[in-house]
Amino acid sequence: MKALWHLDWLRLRRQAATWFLLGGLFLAGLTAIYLGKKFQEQQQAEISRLDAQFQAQCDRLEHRYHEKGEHSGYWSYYSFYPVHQPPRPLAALSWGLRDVAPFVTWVRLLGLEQQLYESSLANPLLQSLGQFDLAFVLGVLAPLVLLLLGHDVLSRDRQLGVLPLLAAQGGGGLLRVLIARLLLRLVLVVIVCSVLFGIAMIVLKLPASLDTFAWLFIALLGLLPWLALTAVIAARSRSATGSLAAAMTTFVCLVLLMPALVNLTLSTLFPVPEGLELTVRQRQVMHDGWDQPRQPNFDLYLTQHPAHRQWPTVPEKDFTWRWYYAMHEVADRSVAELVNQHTQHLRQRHAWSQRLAWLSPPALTQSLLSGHSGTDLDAHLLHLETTRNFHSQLKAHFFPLIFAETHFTAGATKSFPRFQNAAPAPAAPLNPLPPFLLALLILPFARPRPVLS
Amino acid sequence: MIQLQNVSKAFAARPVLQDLSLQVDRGRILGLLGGNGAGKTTTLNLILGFLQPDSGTIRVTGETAYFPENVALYPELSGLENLRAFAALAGRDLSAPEGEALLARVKLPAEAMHRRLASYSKGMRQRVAIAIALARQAQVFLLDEPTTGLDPAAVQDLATLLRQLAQDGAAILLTTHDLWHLSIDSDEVAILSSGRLVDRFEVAGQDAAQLAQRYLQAR
Repeated sequence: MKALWHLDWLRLRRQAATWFLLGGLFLAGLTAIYLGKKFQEQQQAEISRLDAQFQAQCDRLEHRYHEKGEHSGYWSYYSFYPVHQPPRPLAALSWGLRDVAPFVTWVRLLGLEQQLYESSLANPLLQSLGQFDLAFVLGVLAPLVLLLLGHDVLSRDRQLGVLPLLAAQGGGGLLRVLIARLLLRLVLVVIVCSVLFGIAMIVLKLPASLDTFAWLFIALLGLLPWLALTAVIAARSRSATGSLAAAMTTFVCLVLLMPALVNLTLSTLFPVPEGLELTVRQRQVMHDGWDQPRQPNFDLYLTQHPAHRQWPTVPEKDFTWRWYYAMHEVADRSVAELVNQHTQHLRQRHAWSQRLAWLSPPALTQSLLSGHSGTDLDAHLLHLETTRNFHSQLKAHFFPLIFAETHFTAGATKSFPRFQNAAPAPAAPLNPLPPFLLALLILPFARPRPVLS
Repeated sequence: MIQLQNVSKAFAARPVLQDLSLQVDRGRILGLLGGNGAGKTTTLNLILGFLQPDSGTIRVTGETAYFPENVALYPELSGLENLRAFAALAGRDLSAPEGEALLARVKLPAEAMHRRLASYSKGMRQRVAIAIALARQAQVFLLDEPTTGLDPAAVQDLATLLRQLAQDGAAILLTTHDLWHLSIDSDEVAILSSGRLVDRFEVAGQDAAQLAQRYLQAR
């Protein structure tokens, strides 16, 4: 095996394509690290500005309303509260949904649902190609380099006419040659990926922890199914042209067509109510409330909040903040079923996309990496859940004050609730089994053609 | 030693070798003569194990070296690198001086040893291939049309080299159309026609013209 590697290395290092591909991969990785750093800095900067922005808002409120001793409902109407989900350090390597789904949400005491879905969940353009992060470089470009370096390891020799001489040297048939050559290419790609990861660790100041290295482990495991596919193409192809065509077709199918097909299938099977639809429904109920008798709607609110029965009525003609905020909650509750469906269908779609990712190694790798980086759909849903919980806290704090017709005066904002204990989304449980199993499923087809074929 | 006993082979029910029996002992050179499609290359491929016979037995004693009609090696490597790499594949680590000595033994010019193979002539590539076989200490040499495309001087050099190998104890089987080469090189000639062995005789004392006459009578 050592001799095969030596011979192969001698040849590889003299081929311009080797350096072009490995160099290209390295440069792409450096670019992804740079973009990841910018991405991380931008998100951290945005989060670090929240306190100051909130304080500035409080100062404005104090300045505008303190003299008049304005109603607490009025203050609350103009108060926004930031809820955020800090990124895990690894998020810079695998952005997942984090650059398209909000990680900072400013909420008001009004109906929550309309505030949650103001931005779309995914940019369809980015969804098909993936972001240019290190997960993309290691999960999509590194396999492409492996495929291009390895697809013709036998067919090229077959075309050169060296194969009979090579096979006649003894020391174990073409399978051994195939394994040795592909392993060498895998090692080269792994070295480039590992160096890139090392650079990323330094640049992004990632801790040298098991958690961090597990990311690299998953990314490298993601190469296994590609190694098996490359082996099948290399073993079964007669000519280098044929193997290149097979390699490119396989790549396009697995990287572009299959994820798009899976996405289309899942969208059809699990239609998710759009955030806009939820918002419109919620707003409609709210608007209708203005034209309806107020007490019945307020009674609806009280059925859910018996503790507030000490304020049993609302005037029918005069505007009261009590009725206004209660109406918002009633409107929220009217779309609760839709919200539940929305979340359930998103979860179902996510679960199925993880299952169907088996059909596409890059999708599988990206799914595992974004899960481990805390940037997948689960992380986004957790942010929504956190926001809902904080909104409940806001209501628990302000509603009794508003219902009791309290007027805020100077210094009131000091007691306003603030979002605390922000924690990054936890990493999904690490499961290295899928790439292994996928590789094992493919590998049996990598039986080399006979020398004379 | 190479021994074939009652070997038959057919492709898609079309027989290409029928009941072929041959033997090449150590120190002997057997020339396998025949027209296109007579079964010469198939015989070599069977001996090499690239094909399996439908019936009969094949026995080869000793390390086998094979030289296809167009010896192909890796063009991006030099002659010396090709030699060392292939020798290593066969389990022999050659130092650079050892490799150079072997290449000198097959008369590859010293200036060419470190040049990339892409600039070599067919004769030079053949010499590197023979050096590879020597490095492996091969005792069985199989050559498929080795003189095609070689100039007379190169054919003479090759003949000298093969004779030297035979004297060192190698069993050599070569296929050719080149009767002159056979006359100066082989100990024995076997003539194949439509997959059958139709004649076999010692070469000693016969020139190319006599061989041609015998070949034409036999086929």
